[in-house]
Amino acid sequence: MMTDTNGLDFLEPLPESCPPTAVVAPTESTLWRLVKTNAVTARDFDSQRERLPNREYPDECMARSVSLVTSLAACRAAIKSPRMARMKFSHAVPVPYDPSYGVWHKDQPTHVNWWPYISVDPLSIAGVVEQLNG
Amino acid sequence: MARLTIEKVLLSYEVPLVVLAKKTNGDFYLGINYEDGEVAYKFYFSKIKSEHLKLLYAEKIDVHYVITKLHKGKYELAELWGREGSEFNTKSSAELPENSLPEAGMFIPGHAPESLSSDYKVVNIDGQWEISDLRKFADLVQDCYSFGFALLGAAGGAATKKINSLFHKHPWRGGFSSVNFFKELYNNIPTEDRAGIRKIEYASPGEIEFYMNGDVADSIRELVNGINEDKSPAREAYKKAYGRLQNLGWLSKSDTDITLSVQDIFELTTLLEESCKAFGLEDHTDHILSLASNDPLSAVKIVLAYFRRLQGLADYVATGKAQNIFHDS
Repeated sequence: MMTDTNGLDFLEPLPESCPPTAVVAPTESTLWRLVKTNAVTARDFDSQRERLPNREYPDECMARSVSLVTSLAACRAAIKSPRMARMKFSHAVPVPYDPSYGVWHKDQPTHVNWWPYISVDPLSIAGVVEQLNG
Repeated sequence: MARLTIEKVLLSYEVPLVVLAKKTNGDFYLGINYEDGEVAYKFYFSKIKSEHLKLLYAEKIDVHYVITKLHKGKYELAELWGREGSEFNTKSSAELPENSLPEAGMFIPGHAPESLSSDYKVVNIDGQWEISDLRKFADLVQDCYSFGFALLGAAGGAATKKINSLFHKHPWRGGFSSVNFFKELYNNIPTEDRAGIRKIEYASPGEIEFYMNGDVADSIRELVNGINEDKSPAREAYKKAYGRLQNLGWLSKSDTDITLSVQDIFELTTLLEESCKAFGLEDHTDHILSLASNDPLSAVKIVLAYFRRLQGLADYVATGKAQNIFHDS
């Protein structure tokens, strides 16, 4: 498994000391990524930094991670927040947790940061999309 | 204006969406990220009482309810990143910013305290259930669970004290409405240990899946099954104890209304021991007596009250509407 964080081994270029070395592995076998339709594309796994390159972020390493949540309940909660409601997320796609897919860090009870290795195609490991409002 | 510190992030997705902040005087504030600011994120904060925070964590109320119905006073506004431990000043506002309310049904998962002793238990249901059955069956389960939880002494120190004091306060006279007693008993069970419904499937057969203290559920199952056995010793013991108190005219009396002789106390203690043995509660006789402040008359009434509720559940099993009660999922 790659542990070197020189910014070359990951799907997106990362800053120094990123991902962090002290990480908490998720205990869930499946994590979820919010999407806007049931037709998922590779762009749905872009980090915030990739999507909004000109924004300022408090933590560059976190801004370059793929944000995931631990349950569909957490997905449903997130899309009801006023900030997220404007983004019109309506679906979630499952991502299997596997240490060989990258570095994972569960920083909150329902939230996980994922830095995929360059060898991983998130689209190919993603599961069947679930509708959140149905 | 207020000076707040972010205590923890309750929900996030790429950015903190809901945070909990604390004022130096200990007051809690629920913070909602509603849009990007010039530099960081715009949040508004609404003061939340500890009791409501517990309900929010237990997913008994949603964020919309906290922000709208439970809110008092002014909202606090600030621009911040929402990182744990960060301190910031707010600006007070009587109104919320436009289009900043969360949608209804925004329950925050992942923060309810976890019970170490709860399990998934299933009751199979069959036949025709009416709405009144759901209410009645749920009431019986809750009452039996509350009683069983208290009798088995399943709660921790502080909760046990409160539960025990309820038994001491209750006069145990006949005709007294026990509704509030059972309600209070249930309310004193720690939130994480209360019986919750996880799934209901109405079919033939269907099932109700509960999440509840496994020992209490197992105890209720054994008692209910015992009541439905042919020549059930529990039913016989109930008839004997109830009949004896009725003959003595003590069903509507408490120990403060009558002076019990040494012989009365001996007879009641024997009745209590016999009843507990027949109900499968012989290991809890001393505990039940202590719940009744060592008054054997109240202790017998406690056991009889528990039996009546168990009998209600047993009737659901006997008719086939509930089957295989509280089996492991």
